[in-house]
Amino acid sequence: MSTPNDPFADEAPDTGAMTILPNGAPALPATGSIPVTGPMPTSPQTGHVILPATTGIPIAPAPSTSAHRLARPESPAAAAARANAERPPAPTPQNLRQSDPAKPSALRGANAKRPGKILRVDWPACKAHGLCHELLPEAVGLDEWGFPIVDRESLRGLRLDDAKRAVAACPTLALRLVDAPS
Amino acid sequence: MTEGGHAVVPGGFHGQVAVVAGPRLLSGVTDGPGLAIHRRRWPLPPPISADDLVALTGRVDVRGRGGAAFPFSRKLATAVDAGNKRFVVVNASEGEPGSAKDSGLLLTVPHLVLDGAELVAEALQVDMIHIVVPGERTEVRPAVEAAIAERQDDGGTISYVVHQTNGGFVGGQARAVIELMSGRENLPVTSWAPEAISGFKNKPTLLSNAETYAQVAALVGLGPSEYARVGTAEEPGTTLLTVAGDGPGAVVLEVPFGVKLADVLDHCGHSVDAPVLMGGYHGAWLSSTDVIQRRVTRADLTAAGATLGAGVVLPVDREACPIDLTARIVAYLAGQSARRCGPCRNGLPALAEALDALAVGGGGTPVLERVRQMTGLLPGRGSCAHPDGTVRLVNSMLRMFPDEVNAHAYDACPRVNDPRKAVAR
Repeated sequence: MSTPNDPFADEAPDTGAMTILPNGAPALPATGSIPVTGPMPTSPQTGHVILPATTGIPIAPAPSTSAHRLARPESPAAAAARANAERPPAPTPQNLRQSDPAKPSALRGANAKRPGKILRVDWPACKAHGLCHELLPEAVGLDEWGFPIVDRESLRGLRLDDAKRAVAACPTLALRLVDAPS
Repeated sequence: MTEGGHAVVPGGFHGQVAVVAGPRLLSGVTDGPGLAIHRRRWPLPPPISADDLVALTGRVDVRGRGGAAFPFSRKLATAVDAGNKRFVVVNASEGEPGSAKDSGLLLTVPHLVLDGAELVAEALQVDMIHIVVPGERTEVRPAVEAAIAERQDDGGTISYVVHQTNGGFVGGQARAVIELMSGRENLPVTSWAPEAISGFKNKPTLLSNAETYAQVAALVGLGPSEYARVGTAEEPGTTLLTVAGDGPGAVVLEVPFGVKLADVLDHCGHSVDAPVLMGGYHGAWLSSTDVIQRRVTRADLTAAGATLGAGVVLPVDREACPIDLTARIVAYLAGQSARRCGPCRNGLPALAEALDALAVGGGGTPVLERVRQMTGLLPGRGSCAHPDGTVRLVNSMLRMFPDEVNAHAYDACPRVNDPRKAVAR
């Protein structure tokens, strides 16, 4: 089952399903432990490595072997993280929420009977044009790839009309105003 | 009730899986999949009305077995109330590599699943059942089709449509399944309402996991008192587990809720003094202490910060590095993104890269901060829960292995016995 060029092939020896099978599986009791009537597996089974080295394994470990990694002084992620640390932090729900926690919940509307509304993004439709952020900077941040971060708390400070305007402005119709989940 | 033994079937993600005879759902696994022998064990259940089925499944609190554990009676009641033209879907797509239970059911006792689906369909006055089978486990489709043909030869009046996913981790997600059924790409789309209200063709769609239907059939067949005779008071009955499902030696077994996780591992020949990844690749790590102490109940696993999910139990070699394993799983999950939602398409590879840097070691605070930035940024920003599930796994790694995480960030992997590290040296 192992592929010849798999660097992890020796980690997960193909013991075959049969070697670890209980020979007899008795009826299970209502509570407590599982009794075992048959002899337990005889092959040394010191545990199992997940992500085994069989063919068809969706993991593609080849580019991340230790040798490859250790030869690299700084991984792209480390470099990115280092570069990122020098930039102002990307907007996150956390720091957006700190922007104005005391704003009133105007998005719920003057009419108290109207259900609360929230902005939702149709994520597959969103193509990171960023107009929602331009129109609602206090409630919609952008991540480092330009995709919106909608902050539900800050939405409370929005006027419904402004939110509707942002919805209408989205070039891919990816922003929607929907009833808040009850 | 159980004769013991097991069936070896080809429904594992990587080949054979042993389906061990169990007390209920898996009681007939050594009988063979035929209808006649199935009927000796499980007589044709009498029809049940929708209201009665809602009440019955509510009484023993049947939960969905696809991972989310949503109360089945509520889903059924929603579908009942949502309109007259309805659809019933059996989701056996099982895109999670660590799970083989649904394939195991359909390859060994398909008629129990179909009994449950027909009970639900009749209660909802539906005469057609959709069954979604996995793209990766090609043996499942012919097995299901053979079972359907047997029922129709036997005078069955319900018709079936079998759909096969295109494979992939997210291909079995509910909306991706409805897309597939609708003739569109088998990928998740934004859900604006629950499927039970507006699913296939925008009609109420009862879409549940294959095991859930088998549990419904067992419940109707046994009656609520007998059904609740095993398990715990809060979580009656049994559950299917897949142990080591993502590798050779996969085992599917049925246990009553409340058994000790350590007994399950021991029973399957795995060590109990090592961490376990519980709930699959979207699941959470359990420490070796929790592995010994916890029981197989949703409540106990949730209390340990984990989840039962779809019953996936992934034992780990004692010498393996959990940081490295997490990094490799996240790299796989990043590759499994449908690449439709920007935050997932960009964020999961970024998270995977940061974790790779963490696993290599010595990246220091910037790498840790990058990991935390991505785990803060990803959840709730996609049409499916793929980023959320991935972040759940990473967060559990950060929570469960803080010393290992710090050792990697500021020094190197402390597990010199990791075979791959040894090779590198």
